[in-house]
Amino acid sequence: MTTALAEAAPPRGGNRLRFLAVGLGALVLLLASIGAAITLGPADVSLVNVRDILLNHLAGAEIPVRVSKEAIVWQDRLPRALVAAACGAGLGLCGLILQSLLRNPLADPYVLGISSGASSGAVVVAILGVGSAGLGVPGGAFVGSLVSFGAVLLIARLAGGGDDKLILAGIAVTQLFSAITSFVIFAFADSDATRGVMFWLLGSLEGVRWNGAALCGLAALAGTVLCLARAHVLDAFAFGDDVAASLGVHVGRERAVLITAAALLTAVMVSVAGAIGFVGLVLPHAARFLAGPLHLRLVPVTALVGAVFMVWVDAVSRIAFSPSPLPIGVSTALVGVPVFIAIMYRRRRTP
Amino acid sequence: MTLEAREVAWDRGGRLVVDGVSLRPNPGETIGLLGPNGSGKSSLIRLLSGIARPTAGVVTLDDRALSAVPRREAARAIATVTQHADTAVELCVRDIVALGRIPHRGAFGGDHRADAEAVAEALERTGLVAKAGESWHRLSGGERQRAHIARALAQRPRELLLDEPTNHLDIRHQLDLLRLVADLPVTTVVALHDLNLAAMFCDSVLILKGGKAIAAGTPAEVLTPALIAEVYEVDAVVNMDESSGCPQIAFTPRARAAQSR
Repeated sequence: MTTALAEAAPPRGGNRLRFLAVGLGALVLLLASIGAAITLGPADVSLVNVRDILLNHLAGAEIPVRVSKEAIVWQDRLPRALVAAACGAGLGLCGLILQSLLRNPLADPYVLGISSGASSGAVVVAILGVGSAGLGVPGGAFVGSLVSFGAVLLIARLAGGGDDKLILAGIAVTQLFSAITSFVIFAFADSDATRGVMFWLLGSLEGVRWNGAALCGLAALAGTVLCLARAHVLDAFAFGDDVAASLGVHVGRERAVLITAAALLTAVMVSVAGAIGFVGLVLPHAARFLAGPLHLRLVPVTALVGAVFMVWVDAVSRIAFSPSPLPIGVSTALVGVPVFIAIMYRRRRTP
Repeated sequence: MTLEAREVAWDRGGRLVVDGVSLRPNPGETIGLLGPNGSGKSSLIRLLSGIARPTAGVVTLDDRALSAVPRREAARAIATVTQHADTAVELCVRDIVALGRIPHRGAFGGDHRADAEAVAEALERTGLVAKAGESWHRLSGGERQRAHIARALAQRPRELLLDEPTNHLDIRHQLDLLRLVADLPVTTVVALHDLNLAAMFCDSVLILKGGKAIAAGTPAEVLTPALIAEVYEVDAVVNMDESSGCPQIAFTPRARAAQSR
């Protein structure tokens, strides 16, 4: 993948080799990070155990390993690390799409009201029990995020359309659904339920399994492929819709496809892992710092950097306060905000 | 042939911003669109570029309705430089010029050699070779305009549409930029405010007022004191410059207050 990308990118001096090195390095780093994340933790699992378990499952080996260790690594830590990687990549890409299309460096996957809708959906299922049999909490979150995104689109359209209206509608809907969420919690939840839901509102990878990993992984891969195929379209929006149109881009169609894709991708991630804040905003900026402004490089670098970042953030939040894990959204903000400020500072000095 | 407007009109929310204008440039010539603020110059450029569709009449490219031509194909024939195109993205001049190659890309990438050649030639023509690695945010107003024109040239268009490209430029940069545009081997339609610049650099001019075409022809034919008084509501003296053969327009103060009451 990376070779084809470097080949297709316009020449920028000797940067091609550097880009290739960054891309390959990030891929290796991602695999190493996942390896580290599934080895680290309070349970007594050695690196040899992890190797044996992986060989058993991936290469068909039959090395005897204790069932409890096997369950921890293969049923708990690995799917969890993969969900973390997929969320990092997916939310980063959503941020990238929205920052390009809305031409706003502050756009993130949640400006469209998606996270607050997901939270409301989850809370309605978890606390009120509406549809809890058929949907479950993740299903409720997915439905909620689609409802809120639909409301944002409808309001923006009724207000006459345009990016500014979309952002304003997103803010309004976010506030509305946050209020609904708070209302349901205050009116109907007991303290246990509140604690469970709070975890979910701040993002949590507790108890994710392979079905969640498969769903998030497929969504993140599909998002990456779409963004790579649309890399030039994302570039073309740099100077706004008119310039994009004059470069042969079907502005309305591409905008609809990309924004809907970003909304669906976010909805999937939120439905599995809760509302993980700040990654979608920060990751594209960090990736720009490494890969430059052109999306053919920016897309894979954002996905890889996002994946590595989230795997480590999740591993640390899982281990540092063990046995009670820190909600991952708290960690992402704690790490993300200083990184964001550092990038702002560096960019001011070297424009 | 090529790009042509036939009796186009654009009803923009109940206001007719372009009203039955026809434009038929000869290949290779530079046409100036002139007229006061709000006369429909920018709107006509938008219709010609295909960014907006006329509500009546038709814009054609090689005798096909522009709206029926696939956008990418249109973008390989027509390049547009709009006003106020700014970005928050940290692009360098070469990146911006390379945007012009987007319409030439296939589904699986483009012809890299042709891309590199077109970008190099566009940088050369616009005098931006030394600035190729410079960030957009460090460019002067004149350099930004030239970067956009270089991006348009990298599209290798047959038709170039420019909406007031000399806005906010000092006089030397205005002259340099229009010299560059007039010398290009492509058909150019350029909206201008300055009548003297139009007289110097345009092969022909089209005068707009209230969305309607008032007059068309060579600058010497069209830019008369009577027409300037009618369109711009100012008094002017027009002299023929012997050496260049261009009309030169000097404005004279008029006692407007007495008339407008």
